[in-house]
Amino acid sequence: MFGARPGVGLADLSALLSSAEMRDANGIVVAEMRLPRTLGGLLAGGALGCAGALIQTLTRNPLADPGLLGVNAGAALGIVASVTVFGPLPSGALAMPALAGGFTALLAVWAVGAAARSPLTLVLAGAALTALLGALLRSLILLDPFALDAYRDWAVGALDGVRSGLLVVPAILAAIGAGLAVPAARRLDALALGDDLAQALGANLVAARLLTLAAVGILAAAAVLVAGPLAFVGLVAPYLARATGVQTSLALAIVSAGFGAALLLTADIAGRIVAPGIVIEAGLGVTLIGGTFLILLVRRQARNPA
Amino acid sequence: MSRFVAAHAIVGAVLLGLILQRLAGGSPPADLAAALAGDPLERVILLHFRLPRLVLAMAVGAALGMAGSALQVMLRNPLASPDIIGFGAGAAAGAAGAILILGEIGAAVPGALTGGALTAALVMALAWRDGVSPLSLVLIGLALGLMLTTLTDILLSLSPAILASETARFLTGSFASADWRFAGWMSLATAVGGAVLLRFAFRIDRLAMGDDLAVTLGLAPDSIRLSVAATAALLVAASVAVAGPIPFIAFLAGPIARFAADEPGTVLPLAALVGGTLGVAADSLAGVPVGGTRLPAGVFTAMIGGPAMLILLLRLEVDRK
Amino acid sequence: MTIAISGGNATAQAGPRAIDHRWGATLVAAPPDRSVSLSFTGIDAFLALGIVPTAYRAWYGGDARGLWPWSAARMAPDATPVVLRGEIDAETVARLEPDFVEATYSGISRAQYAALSRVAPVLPARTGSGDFGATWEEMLTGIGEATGRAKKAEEVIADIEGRISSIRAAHRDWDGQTAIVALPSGPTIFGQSDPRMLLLTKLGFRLPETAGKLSLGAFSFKLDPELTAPLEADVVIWLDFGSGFDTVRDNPLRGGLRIVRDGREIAADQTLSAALSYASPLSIPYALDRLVPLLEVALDGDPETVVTGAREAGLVR
Repeated sequence: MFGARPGVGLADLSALLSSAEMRDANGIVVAEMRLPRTLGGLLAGGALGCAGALIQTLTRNPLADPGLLGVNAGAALGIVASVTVFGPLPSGALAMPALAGGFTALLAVWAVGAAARSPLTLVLAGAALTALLGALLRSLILLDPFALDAYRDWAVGALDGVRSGLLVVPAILAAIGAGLAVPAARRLDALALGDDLAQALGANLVAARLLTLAAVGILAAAAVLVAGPLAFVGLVAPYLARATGVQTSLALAIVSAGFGAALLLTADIAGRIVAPGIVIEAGLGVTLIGGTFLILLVRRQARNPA
Repeated sequence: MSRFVAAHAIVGAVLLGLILQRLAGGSPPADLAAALAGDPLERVILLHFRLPRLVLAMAVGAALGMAGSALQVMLRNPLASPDIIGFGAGAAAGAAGAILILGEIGAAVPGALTGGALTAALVMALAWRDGVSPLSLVLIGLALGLMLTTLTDILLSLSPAILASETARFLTGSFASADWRFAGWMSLATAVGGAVLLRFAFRIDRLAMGDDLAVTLGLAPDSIRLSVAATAALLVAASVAVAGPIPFIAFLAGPIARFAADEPGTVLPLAALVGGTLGVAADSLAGVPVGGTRLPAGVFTAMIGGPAMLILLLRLEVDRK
Repeated sequence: MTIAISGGNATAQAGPRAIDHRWGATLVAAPPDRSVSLSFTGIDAFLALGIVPTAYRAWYGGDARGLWPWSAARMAPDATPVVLRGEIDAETVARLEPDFVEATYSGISRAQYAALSRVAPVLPARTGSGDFGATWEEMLTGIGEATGRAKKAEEVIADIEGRISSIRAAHRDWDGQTAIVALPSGPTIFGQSDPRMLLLTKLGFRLPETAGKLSLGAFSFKLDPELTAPLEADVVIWLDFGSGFDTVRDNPLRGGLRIVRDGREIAADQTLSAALSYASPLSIPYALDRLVPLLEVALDGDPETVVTGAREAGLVR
């Protein structure tokens, strides 16, 4: 309920129940701005948290995160490239390039990570991929001055422009991703018992991996469409979720989605409290929280590396 | 002829070819004969435009190549190059901040040096915990690098339009801004930094065998790591100051050099040679306008670096199988 | 849209002159015959002084020669100056064999300045205003001095100032009214120091206090979309750089805005937006010609009159 507009209170929540024509200005703020913004935050944060939990379980790597692995950057490059080629596009049309970019990046990083035994290698490969995609993005922007303006706002990751109309396609994607996540998590649990045992139990190794990757890619694309390429949400959320003591992959994915949503909304609200009236993108808060978190995590484990 | 000598000879030949191309070719090509005959314009173009730009590209490339290679060996990871672990991002954020505050692109020089040095100090301070392990250096650098990249994006969004697009151009990396003063300072920095790294080269290799062994050999692993990281960070900061954050040279030079000549301890000069070659190659491409627009060299190192990086990553995978 | 007649009658003052700048002083043998302009918007200043440079730098948009209507009209169709795009390449400039390189609004580096100075006198930005902090008057005065057309520069400036003050005299009611220049995305509001806002200030307008407080003196800031009070100026000018006005039209809070009810919004199309952003001695007269009638309609106090272009932009139903 925090926001820049003074005088908006709990009473205005009633606007959510009234018809669109009956709302006063405060009602409009609640129903058509804060509600979509909050839903967008829940959707993007939840999707990233869930995707982070899945990819961490799949790679058995506590440092995996769709943002750190370059998946979000891939989706972002897909979006900017198609805007550069075709001009401004409706959000629905951006889903395909976001998915294509995200999956390409995911497969590239997977090609390394699947065989890499060190969790560090996967993360560094992701960081290298992110740097590469970032450099390509910058090149595209140099060719098209208009792209820079659009990019500057969006690159940081923000929720302030989210309107309900923009949420439809990402919501469908997130639902598909979540739908895939459930069987994926089940199979991952079976795999966790050990590859041999899992095969004996009839769990198909390849199918489990493909399902998980598909879910991660779709969830990440949904999040990027809503809020831009946010890093760290998928890293921090599963870590917090594990601290609650959940056991199964499915539970971890669900609880992580909750923490991810909470993290992104916290960052968004913090931005509004720090500088009321002007926009401080939620991505800034997420990066500050997430980066600090990673540093503290590393310092805690400094002398007993994974 | 050993593989080691052959590798140096081949890279050297490629570099020489590129140097000749840079001095005589281009669009339009330079008239070397006229320059030697004393034509004033061709002389100035050769001696004061092309040569310093060439020297700058080689010096920056060599600095990045050595810094990257030394860090990769020391941190025992072929992916742990300074542009991945935050040193480049720190210098870039410093440059972007100084440009925004002072309103001129020239402010990038002090900005990059300050930002790069501060970031390196911060990374090492945060990674220190009764000593400094390679793993925490890499991860803390990575985390800080991502935070600083976000900061750079924010700074960019605060800049007025033309300054923002010119800052974005700077952040792509380019050798177009060259005179003998720039080229001279950068060559000096590369020479000094390179000499320091070379002095440490043997010890860096010993560290790769593990701290315990290194200590029995009478080495102090932590102080070696801090010295090498600091030197590498300053080399990167100096490159960013004169040419912007040219991507991927630091990342690629080491692996290419080690692939070419698989002998520990002797790879630094070759990495410098490979880095210099990559720098000159990218600048050759930048010398030709694309659709009437001159694109900075950084665009081309990213384009060369992309496929090369994927090949490198896939090779890593093969090695592990 | 005629301002002072260009070219022909403007006689150049002879003799070399030294001009001080941030890196020392540059000696120009005026009048130069082969000028190269590296400044963004520099071509407008040269054309305003009646000079067709040997080469100039394109900023963004415009026709095949990188020219917008206000400058295209001043350049003979058969004139073929070289158009420079992208980063400054010292060698390309040198090969044009210039006798004067103008770079007061170009972001040229000190190294490039030093290298190019071996070929021709180079004029970088003056001290203290940053790479892109100079006003169009300062830029025109500097170029006028260097090219030996200081008097012509004074005339052009006086002429534009005269036009502005006659517009102001004819619209006394604008004095003290508030105005906002904004980008639809955000919305992003431009602050007091922005060249577009500076022009409106000269017409008598001022930035509303609520917006001024939020801007903290910056060039622009992104307004929280929930807040509408800072947008409630007497007139709002929306700029378009290619993304259109959909974001403005789709703002759910539009219905409650006085600027919307009273029809006080101006949708500046891409050409007018560019003219306001170029803020050059050629684009300002063009912008005034197109903007003043729009301001008159927006500020007529009658909600029924529709500002030209507002309906097409979707701002009026």
